[in-house]
Amino acid sequence: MIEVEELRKSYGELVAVNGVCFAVQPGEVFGLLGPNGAGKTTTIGCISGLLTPDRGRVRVMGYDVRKDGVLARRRLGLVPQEVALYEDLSAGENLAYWGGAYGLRGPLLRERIREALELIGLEEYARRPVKSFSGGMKRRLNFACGILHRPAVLLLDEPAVGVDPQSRVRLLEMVREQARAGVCVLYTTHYMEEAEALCDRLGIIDRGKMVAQGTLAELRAMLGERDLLRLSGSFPPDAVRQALAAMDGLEIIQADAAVMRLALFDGPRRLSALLAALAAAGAEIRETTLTQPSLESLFIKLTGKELRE
Amino acid sequence: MRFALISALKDLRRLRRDPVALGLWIGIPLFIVLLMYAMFGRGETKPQGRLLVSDEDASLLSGLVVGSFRQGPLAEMVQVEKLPREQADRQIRAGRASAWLIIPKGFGRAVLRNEPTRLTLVSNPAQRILPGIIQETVSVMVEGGFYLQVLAGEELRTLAQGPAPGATAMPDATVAQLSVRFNRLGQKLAGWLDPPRIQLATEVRRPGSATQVNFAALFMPGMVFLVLLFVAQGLSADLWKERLRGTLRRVRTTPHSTLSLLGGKLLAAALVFFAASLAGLGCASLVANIRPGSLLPGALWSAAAGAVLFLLLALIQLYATSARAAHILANIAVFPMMLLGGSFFPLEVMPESLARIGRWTPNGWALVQLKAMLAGTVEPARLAAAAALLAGVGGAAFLLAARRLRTFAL
Repeated sequence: MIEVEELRKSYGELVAVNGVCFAVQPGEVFGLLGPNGAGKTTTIGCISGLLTPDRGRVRVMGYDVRKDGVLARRRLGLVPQEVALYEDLSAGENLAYWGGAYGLRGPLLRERIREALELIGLEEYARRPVKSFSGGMKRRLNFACGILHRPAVLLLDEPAVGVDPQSRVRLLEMVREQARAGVCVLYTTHYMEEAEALCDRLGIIDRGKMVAQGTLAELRAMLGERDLLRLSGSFPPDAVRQALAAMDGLEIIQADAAVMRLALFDGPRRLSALLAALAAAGAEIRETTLTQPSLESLFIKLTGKELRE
Repeated sequence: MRFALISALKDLRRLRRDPVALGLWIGIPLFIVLLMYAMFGRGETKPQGRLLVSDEDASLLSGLVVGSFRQGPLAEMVQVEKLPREQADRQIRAGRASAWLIIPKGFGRAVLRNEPTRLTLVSNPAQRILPGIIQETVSVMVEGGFYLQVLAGEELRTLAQGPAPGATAMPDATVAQLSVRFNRLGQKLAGWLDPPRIQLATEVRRPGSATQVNFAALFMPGMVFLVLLFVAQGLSADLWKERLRGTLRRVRTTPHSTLSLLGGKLLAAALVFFAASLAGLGCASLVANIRPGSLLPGALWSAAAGAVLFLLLALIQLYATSARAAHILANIAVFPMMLLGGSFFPLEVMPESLARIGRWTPNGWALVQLKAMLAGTVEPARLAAAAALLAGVGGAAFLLAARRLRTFAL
């Protein structure tokens, strides 16, 4: 399992991760969800031993990453964000190298390579140089290099970035298989759909802080099953706030001169009354988007911004 | 250790998949070597000339004249070819020979009788040295003939007259008399000729330890180091490629240390350096007189020196702030080393002030040791000290590079 306690890591003045705590159990997929620069990769770096935390403790299968780094890393598999492969080598040679790095050799290594190539559907491409592969094929091979030694803990740092939908589906299925096999999986992403589809539990991270964590159901409950309404146009702030204050079960998440975000119960039914109240307050509405409760709306509620901003 | 071997194998495989880069690193200096081979040929640069002889006398004496060019050091410089007058004339006019010697009919009889005769030497105006040597040789022979006449002219004339008319042989008394006179002449001259009154002592002055056999030998070891510099620069630049690709970071998440990773890279580089040095010195032995026994030690030394050059250039790469900066800094380091360190212009032909600086550049220092090894003039104690210094610098550079690699990978 992975245990992260009060993790803090800064680069000079910039605090990349601040007081992050979470734990991931064997057989569980824990998603770390956040926009670019939220601190996901730094958290992965601290767990994998690449980065030394300023404060806090990270344990992998009971081994402290700082004190027992080698023992911890032996149990880790990392699928990095970039395609960390040797493009001039073949798929088989890449697998052999990364497998060898974890002590695999001889018939066992050959057997694992065969299995891995079969798993990622690249058996026929074993001898081809990686530079001739498509982006999706490279991503799958990148994944296979991280699991060849059958790690107890698998860290996946946005492994599906830039992957075509077909390869993404296949990649997610392979991650699920790992979890079913008892592997403890930490998956970072900024794709809401991926997180919803794949993860058993989620941690929402923003500006280095864990703002919420739990199962999907727990997180939705935090939102209170409210709909999210996004309005764009022109809004006289004071008049609008005064008009909305009179309405029950409505929360202003964001309000500026051009965009408003509101969380409200029973949105579809109350929409016309809401728009009428805003118009009476002097607002000019050009676009309206009503969203059902989702991770996206929770993220917006928690951070005040959209995930891809 | 095993991971270092795996890494070395991986790097060698990658190098094999990039034959263009490898070809350029090794090909450019090899091209220069071949160019020199074409210019200077193999071994010591002795002139080779062709002397045409039209021997119209075909006597014992004319044979001796021709034979004198086929003996001793002259035989190595002059190739003698007998041709009839017309053919020889055509050859010399076409510039295909250094000189043409015409020995007229009756030459031998005239010499023995002390009568006037004429040897004609036609020289090729396009050549200067070899016709001069041939002319000097002929002059010496003519002078030798004159002194023989002074010392034994009467005996020679008696021999030239031959038997009296009607007789088939000389009388026994005349033969005995000639024999006694020749024997006395021999005894008289023995004091001058055996041992010779003047002895020629030849001494070759060797300029320091960097003994060179010929002009080509001046360049060849330097060319090997030119290859090493190119290869070291190319292989060290691979660190940035690995960083940008993310493979260095990935290696850092494995249970292995950066020492193993760098050790693998160093091992691969050393093997490439050894192969390149052995091939380079092998090629060099074709154009320069290198002792065969010194090839393997020379290649080992070059590989070790190349490995240290690789580590020094790796430090530049690791401390540079970007791949572009690393490239510029490496060039700034390599080009002066190449030009001053005797890898392009031999230290022996440089002005002493520059050569002194060059001998203290890393490649220049290693090159001086290599040349001494190839010439067989290196002293074991000095070689041991040089090897210890190389190991010390290499070890320090290795530890520093491995330490830096930990943060460089991030």
